[in-house]
Amino acid sequence: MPGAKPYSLLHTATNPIARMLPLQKEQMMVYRLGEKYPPIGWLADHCPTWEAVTLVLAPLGNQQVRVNLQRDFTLISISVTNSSNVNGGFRAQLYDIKKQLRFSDRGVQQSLMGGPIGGGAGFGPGTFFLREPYRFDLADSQVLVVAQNLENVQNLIQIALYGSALRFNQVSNTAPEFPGGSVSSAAPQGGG
Amino acid sequence: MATQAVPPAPGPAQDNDDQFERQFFSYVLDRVVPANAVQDPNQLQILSDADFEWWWAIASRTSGLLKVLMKENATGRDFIQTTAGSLTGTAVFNGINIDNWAGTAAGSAAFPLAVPYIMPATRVYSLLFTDASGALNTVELVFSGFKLWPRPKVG
Repeated sequence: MPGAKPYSLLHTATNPIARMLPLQKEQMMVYRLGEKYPPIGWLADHCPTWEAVTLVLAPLGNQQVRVNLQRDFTLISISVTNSSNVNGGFRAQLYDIKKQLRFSDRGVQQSLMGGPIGGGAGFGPGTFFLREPYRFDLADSQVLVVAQNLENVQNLIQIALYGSALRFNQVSNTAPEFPGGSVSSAAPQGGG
Repeated sequence: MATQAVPPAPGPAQDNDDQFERQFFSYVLDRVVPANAVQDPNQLQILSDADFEWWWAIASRTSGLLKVLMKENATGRDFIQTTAGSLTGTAVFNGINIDNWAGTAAGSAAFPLAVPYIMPATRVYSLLFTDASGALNTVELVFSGFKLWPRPKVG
């Protein structure tokens, strides 16, 4: 059908390392494939940020936490650790509160969500890179993390959300600004 | 008749030229973290000769029972954070588990930032370690990337 675009990347954040992944180690390795400068796009002025959500789960208990995200936080990868993993560790689900979107239709088991990067215990680096980054582009975005312990003992878990956030003093033409101006020191905009 | 310089053909390569030469470089932080230390402070300063473009985080440790915080002193920016600490049963947020942050290159576990970060020359970064292993924890962090040397314009 003329004009049909079954899968269009229009308005979709493009993973800066998507075209630099060898087939064997697609989760981790970066190299330059005949391209001197990677296609960073609008993430160029952003800053690496790790949102480290730490939870102490009671035996078979569950918890939910809400994390305030920095401006234009763009999720790139997820890594996970826990203190007990006999019955599968835990399940967790992520929600974009501002957009009212969930990232999975039910909780994802820890081993399918991601693993640690270092100290891989024979499995190698377990961080999971999103095929395309997910952009929390609305002002005052929050992510809700709901986790359920699958273990019969207390489980100390950490879900580390790695992403890029706009620097607080960086004016952007694409990211929404906080009320009061483009930067914290800017004069209030408009009337009312 | 004066010869006229032929401008280079426009193209993606030229459009992406930011006028910097990149020299592979790594900043290394070594520390033997005392047993059960809480937010043990360490500083890393970028050399004054050039800005640094940070691409990879690489880390080794004795025990994985170690957390890391990273701050940029000049701006007060926290690279590692959460606002959920008070809700999670953990009294104080001491950072990310080091194994969630980076691993060794030998284990193919160097972490690619994907989006590089410019660390300006002379800027100081604080790394704070919290140990839960109960023993000395020997840590090495490597910030791998490029020194940015401005290239003089030709013509």
